[in-house]
Amino acid sequence: MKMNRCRLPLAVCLCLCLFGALNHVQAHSILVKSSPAENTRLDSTPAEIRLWFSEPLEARYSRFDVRDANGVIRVTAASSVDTTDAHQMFMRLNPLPNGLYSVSWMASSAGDGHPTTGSFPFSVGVPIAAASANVSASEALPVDGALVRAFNLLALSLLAGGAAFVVFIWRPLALQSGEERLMRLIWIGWLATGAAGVAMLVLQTGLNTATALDDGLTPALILQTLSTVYGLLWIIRVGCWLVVGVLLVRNARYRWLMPLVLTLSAVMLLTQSLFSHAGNASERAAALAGDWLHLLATTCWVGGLIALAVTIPVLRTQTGMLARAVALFSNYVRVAVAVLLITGVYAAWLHVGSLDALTGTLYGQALLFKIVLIIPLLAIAAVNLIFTQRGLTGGAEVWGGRLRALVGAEIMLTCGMLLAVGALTSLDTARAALILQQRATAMMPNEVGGMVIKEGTHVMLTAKPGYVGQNTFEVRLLTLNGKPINDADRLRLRFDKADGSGESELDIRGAQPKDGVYRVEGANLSSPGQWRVRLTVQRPQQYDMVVDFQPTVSAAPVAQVLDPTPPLTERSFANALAGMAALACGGALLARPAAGVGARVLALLLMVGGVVFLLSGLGVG
Amino acid sequence: MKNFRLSRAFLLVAILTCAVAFTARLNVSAHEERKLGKYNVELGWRVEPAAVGVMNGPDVYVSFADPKDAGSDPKKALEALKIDLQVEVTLGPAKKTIKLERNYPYYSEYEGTGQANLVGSLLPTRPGDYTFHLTGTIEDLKVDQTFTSADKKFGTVEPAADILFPDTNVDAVSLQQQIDALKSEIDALKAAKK
Repeated sequence: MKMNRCRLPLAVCLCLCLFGALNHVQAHSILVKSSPAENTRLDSTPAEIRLWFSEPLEARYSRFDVRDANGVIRVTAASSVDTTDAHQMFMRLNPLPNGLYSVSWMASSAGDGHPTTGSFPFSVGVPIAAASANVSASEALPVDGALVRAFNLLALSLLAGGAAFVVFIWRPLALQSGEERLMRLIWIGWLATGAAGVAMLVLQTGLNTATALDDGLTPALILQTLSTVYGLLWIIRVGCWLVVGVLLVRNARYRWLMPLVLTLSAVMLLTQSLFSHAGNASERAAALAGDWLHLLATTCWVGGLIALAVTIPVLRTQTGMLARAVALFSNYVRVAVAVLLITGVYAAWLHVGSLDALTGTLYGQALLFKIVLIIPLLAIAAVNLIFTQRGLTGGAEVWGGRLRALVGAEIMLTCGMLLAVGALTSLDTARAALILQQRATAMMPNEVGGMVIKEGTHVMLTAKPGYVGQNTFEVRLLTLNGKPINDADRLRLRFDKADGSGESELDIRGAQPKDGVYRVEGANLSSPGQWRVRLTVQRPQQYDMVVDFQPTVSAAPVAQVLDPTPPLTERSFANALAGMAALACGGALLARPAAGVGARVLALLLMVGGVVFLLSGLGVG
Repeated sequence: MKNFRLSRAFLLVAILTCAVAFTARLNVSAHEERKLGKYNVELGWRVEPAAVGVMNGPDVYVSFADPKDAGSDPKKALEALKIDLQVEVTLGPAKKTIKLERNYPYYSEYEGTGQANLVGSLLPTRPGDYTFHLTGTIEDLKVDQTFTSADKKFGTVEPAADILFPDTNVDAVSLQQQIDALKSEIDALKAAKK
């Protein structure tokens, strides 16, 4: 018996020898990148899946398929090797239902015929994110996106607000000089709007393809975005922008062109609204009208403030002009603020809807931040309306200096507001985020994993929530005495199933763990069944430790379908209320004898918006 | 104790048998390619998937990046190249320098100019992500490149349990590790008893 055991290693090695002699599978065609990228969450089905390999592929033997979370092949269309570049394989897709998918590929190198296989997961739609208990991660604020959007709003404010200031404030004053200052400001706004347009296109392409600018975002991908709805709106925006440029050039000769500049700038704002949260709302017409009016009022206010700050030195040189300008601007801003309040409250109801959503989601918190900034802003506006205007009318020169400081403070606050708006437009609405949170909370956690003692180390792996789909993988390393091991500089988790499907990998490098816990997220457990998760731990000056876990994963429970759309009665009531408020407020402001042209135009637009709200409340459109 | 020594002797014999068999038998190729000067250099494991206890080693192919440099007789040009390469293999605290030797056949036809093949012998005793530090010269070109198996370029060394058949749930190396662990525990217990 003992001799038999002694011979075991020999038998084993001979088996290995035979295996090695027969097995020459080499990893030659390496998957370099893919679109969508591994672990990407997409809002909708991509037009195609494309894989890039390190070597040219043999078309006949290279292919891939797309499987759903149950391992069923969902796409029957064949994948093809790109005839223009044999390094690439692609597959056109028809719309897929929301869910988690894995791409399983087999690539045969045209160079040496060696096949390689692999797979990676991606998901389509929001419900899969709900399968993750880690809602906070999916609700992270995309800072770069928020900054680009804020810059875009600032640029549009300079352009549209500057043009509005010229048309409604400056020209009625009939001053002989000083307009060149405003024109410089508008030109800066025009240039910034162009730059912001490019940045927005790149941002949208990155969102569509889940590709970062420094990670393969090519001009071809960007051009691809132009064939989407966003692309169409972007082209309209660029068209308006170009025409505005021509009009600005001709403005010196034909002064009547400036209202056209303002109108085209308003159209550019409309393209913003059409591709926003409002574009997906239940009462689309009302939501769009509200969003556009909100944007228009914001840009008129912010751009007007900057224009006023720029022209104060000129206005102070001419007796009584500053007082007249402030009076006109105050009337104009009064209407803008009314528009902002009515449409803002409407948007808050539409996208937030509850106190829980306001305080418990990033969207709600960004809105709170915006509200906090609005309070001092309104206070300063009130000071200007009541005291500054009176002081200037009474000839107190000191108010000229004070006005400049107050306007400066207002500009700083509005810039903060624009940042908040940038964040708001980058995030899921609070209603949607709250529902995701509720669904994640409702889902019972089903953590899977295991614990192994190896080489003097307790190694624990936990996948949370432990269902098919997005999981947080937590590796805990402890010595046998329970002391945490925090010095691992690399951990690799490799996933596969017995049938060879689902091969993928997660890498943790340079982590700064606490209590020996290392975390990484991924949707690598992409179908139900038993998995092998192979963990490799690398520590300085120690041998690698390789540990296998075999968790059994089940599909996530079917979540109750929750619709963020408010109930019909609530919608009708809110639309009717907003409509009546807009009509009443707009009518009152329109009828004011002191209202200037600008204030009247804004008030009229508010009334039109009120009609749209009312019609939406009645179920029309 | 005698039987224990005997089993280790069998293990050693088995490993050596495998080593000899594989050295004579392997048909190998490289996996990660880099362009160094006017040469392409590929490096990887001789056998993949690489597994603990299976004879293996670094495997390097050298070819001309530009077919023009190979002239009319690429085989002759490649065989005439003065190549002096070595690989320092690292896993955790362990390092081993392996001088690369010409494989047989040295020249193989592969795409344009064909390629020259140099190999070293190594029997991985532990699973993990090995690092190959390739140094030396190809003609006047100094080579100093580091390759890591964990970066999806070529295979990592897997536990032998992956390819054992019938599945014994234990391979020779991990068996030895378990014995060593038990031995140290016994020593610790004995020390505590004293």
